[in-house]
Amino acid sequence: MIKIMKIKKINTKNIINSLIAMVLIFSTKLNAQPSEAVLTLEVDPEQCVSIVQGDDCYVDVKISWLSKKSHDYCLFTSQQSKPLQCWNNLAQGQLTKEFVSNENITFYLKRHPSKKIVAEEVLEMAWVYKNNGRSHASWRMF
Amino acid sequence: MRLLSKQLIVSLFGLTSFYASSVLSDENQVDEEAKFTQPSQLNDIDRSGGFLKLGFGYNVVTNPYNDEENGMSLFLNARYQWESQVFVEAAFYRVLNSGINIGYNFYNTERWNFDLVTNIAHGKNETGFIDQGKVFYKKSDITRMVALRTTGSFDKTTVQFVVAPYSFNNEYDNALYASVWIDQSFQVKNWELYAAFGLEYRSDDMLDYYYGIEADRATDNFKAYNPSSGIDTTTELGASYPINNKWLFETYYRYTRLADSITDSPIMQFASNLESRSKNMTEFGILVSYVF
Repeated sequence: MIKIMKIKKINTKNIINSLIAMVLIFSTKLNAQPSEAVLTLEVDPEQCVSIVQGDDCYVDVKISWLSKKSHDYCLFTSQQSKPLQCWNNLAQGQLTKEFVSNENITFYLKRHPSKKIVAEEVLEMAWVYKNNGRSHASWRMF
Repeated sequence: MRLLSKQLIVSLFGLTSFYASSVLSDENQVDEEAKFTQPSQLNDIDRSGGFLKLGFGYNVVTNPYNDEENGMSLFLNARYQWESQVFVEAAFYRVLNSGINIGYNFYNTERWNFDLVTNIAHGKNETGFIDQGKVFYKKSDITRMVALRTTGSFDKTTVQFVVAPYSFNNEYDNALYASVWIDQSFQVKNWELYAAFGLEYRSDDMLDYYYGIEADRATDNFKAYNPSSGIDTTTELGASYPINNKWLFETYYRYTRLADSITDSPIMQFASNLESRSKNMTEFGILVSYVF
């Protein structure tokens, strides 16, 4: 009986410790979320279509973002490490630029100088003919 | 719509059935996620499957054989290959408007495909006129042949060689057809531009069957003619633009200079001077295509 009581006591202590740990972890996670909510990050168009899979796709993209609060923000892409453009103490921004790629491009809006990602959007690559190692011209012509 | 449209619809029905059966078969499903950046050695199962492109647009065709045709037209390019390596093709499209053919894909390398395939070496001709009271009439049937065909794919370049030594047309002997084609594509932004060039050889007996005039049929204006073998030269230029991942905008222009031994025939010289006809062959087309 005494042994059982001891076990219960230990269990209760473990549960409390676990709860404290969970709360701490959860609160850390909460702190990782962007404190400034970016309402929108829009990429237009959302898709670039080439004729053959693997060919470079050319597209003029309009990227616009809107935040609740003014801050310093920088726009990055998966294509390069340096920012495409930065905005100082603004709550919205816009950029139009031509992109050339044969794989999806991810756009990241980061809070400066913390480099925390506050929003991201993907420009998808699509194609008409899949590149299966056989030229589609052979289908087209012959 | 042209008579061709009816033929196209029948062909489309058949090929759609082949396509549908492949879609329903799990074994033939293509892995959409698979990515190949270099040509790879495919086995017979990998090579099985279908392709279907259907177009609708406007084209203008001029040649010495028929009055100029222009108007809305259907375009079809389709192929289905079974695991047995037997295939059927329907090409009412661009450079080789070769109709429906069946074949056997008997050998493949990384870049080359070798096929035994039926081939239309020449369409049927029917010529009739009255010259100074004498009736001239000549009807020549289609020459369908069996050809050995090899096609090489090198990124943006495709080459093809065809030799057809056997003819199903038993109205004449010594039919021989051979051709060589090269197609080069270029990417300019999201446009694909291409240039294709081809040479087609036909033996003297074949051309005599279609364009020759026997001495006993000759008239004052249509003298006896015995053509030698000849080579047609074809050039095609075209462009495609992806409207989205299923629809293409396409346009092309093709010019075929007929062999001298054809254009020198009194029959062809007469025909090419008729209104709405031309000495050589041209075709212009503008269309939208759906790729299945």
